[in-house]
Amino acid sequence: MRTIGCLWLVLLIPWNTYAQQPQLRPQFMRAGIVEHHGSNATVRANDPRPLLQAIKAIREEYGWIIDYEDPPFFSAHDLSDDTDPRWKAAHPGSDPVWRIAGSAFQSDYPEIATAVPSSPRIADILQKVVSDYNSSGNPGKFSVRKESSSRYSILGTFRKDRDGRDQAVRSILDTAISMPPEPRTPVETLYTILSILSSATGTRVLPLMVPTNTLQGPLLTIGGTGVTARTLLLQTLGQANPRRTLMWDLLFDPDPNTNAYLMNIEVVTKTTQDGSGHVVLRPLGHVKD
Amino acid sequence: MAHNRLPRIRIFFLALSLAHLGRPARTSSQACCLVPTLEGSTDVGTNFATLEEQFLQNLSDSQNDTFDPRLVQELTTQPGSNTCHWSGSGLPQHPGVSGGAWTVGAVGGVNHCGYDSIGWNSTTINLIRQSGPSHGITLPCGFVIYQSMEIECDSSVFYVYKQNLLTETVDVPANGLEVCRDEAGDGDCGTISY
Repeated sequence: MRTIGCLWLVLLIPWNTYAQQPQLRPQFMRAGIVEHHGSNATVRANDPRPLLQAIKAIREEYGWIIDYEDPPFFSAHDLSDDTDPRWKAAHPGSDPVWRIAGSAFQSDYPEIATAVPSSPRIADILQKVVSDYNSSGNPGKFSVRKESSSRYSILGTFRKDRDGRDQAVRSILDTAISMPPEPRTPVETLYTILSILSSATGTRVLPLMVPTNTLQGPLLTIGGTGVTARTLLLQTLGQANPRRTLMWDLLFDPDPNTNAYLMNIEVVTKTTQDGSGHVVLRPLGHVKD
Repeated sequence: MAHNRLPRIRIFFLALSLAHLGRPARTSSQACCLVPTLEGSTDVGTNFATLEEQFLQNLSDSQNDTFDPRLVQELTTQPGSNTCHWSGSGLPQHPGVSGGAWTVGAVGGVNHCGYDSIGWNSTTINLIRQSGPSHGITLPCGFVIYQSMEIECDSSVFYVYKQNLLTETVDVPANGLEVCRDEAGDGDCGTISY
């Protein structure tokens, strides 16, 4: 069995950071792991968002372009109390704070010998992983959408309602918005799309981790009337940097302090070895659809 | 550049810095072209739209060679650490570089390039300050990123010429933010009142 991918993260990081965590809080994996078994592979995760952790491991293992979106979790059936015991003791009577209630997850899938981003079999693998997740009992249910010949989205399509029943939800990024097509930097374009989307939906969508160094390209003139936010985002990320391919994770934070979507933009990377045999995450070049 | 210190986690970052710099540099190949042997950083100020500190990079070697207009880029060769992280927060537990690439000489004059923009935006800082403590995070907290800088020899071969520690310290608003690029070496730091 050959195990690479995100395992190096697990091995290289000292465990002393966990010493700062309260003893009774759950222990999660630091990163997902892809294990290879001949013609098959297994992805393992243990995280509040286990499907996202699994997808991250798959992305880095193969260099695939996969966007991810949470459903807007709100039910106690999908959430866990994550209040720090010391903070709770110091703030008696305060409301609890929440995290998504995910835990362990794994999926087996047939591995592709030449797993290039445009391989048509990628959809089958992602469908298998998502199907396994949807029957795992973890929060939310998801679906796979093919965005282009080499790009996929994992969309949160169900959450629990107050009574614990599945409730269908629609991706907020499929909301049609209008944005004047004015020249803006890539960062300004991204922030403008999210700001307009927030106003249009009444739900805050905030930029969290944004790789500004890769968004220093020339001015973009992106916009339109009645265009989905997803379309504008795809245009922005597709034109922002001629050397890099970018993707997003859209996370819903149900904490009362936040109660918003948080968007992380990431450069697509692939696990490789450098000339000295060290494992490195190397950015994938620009992939045109 | 003069700047205020945030001493409580300074020792932690410094220890990490010294341990890392004691290691031999990793190279993606043997040097097959002219490569810089020194790289300095100069803090040129804050981009307040993104709350990032901007650093100008300065390349040199003992022969005063010119590296214009070669391509340099950043790479993550070792997972970073983030003491502001809690599970489910959306913040990276092991942060890395964002994949920037720069043309030498395009900004700042001969053998300069940039800017390397470092730091978390206001959404992230607000999230850490407002939600972090109730999830068990103690301020000040921050990240350490291991940045390898490599220069293009030809279209497929890059050579690693420098390894830097990138850090940010997040404290309560009264103490603000501090961002550093290679503080223990030829780098610089900047503070942000936020």
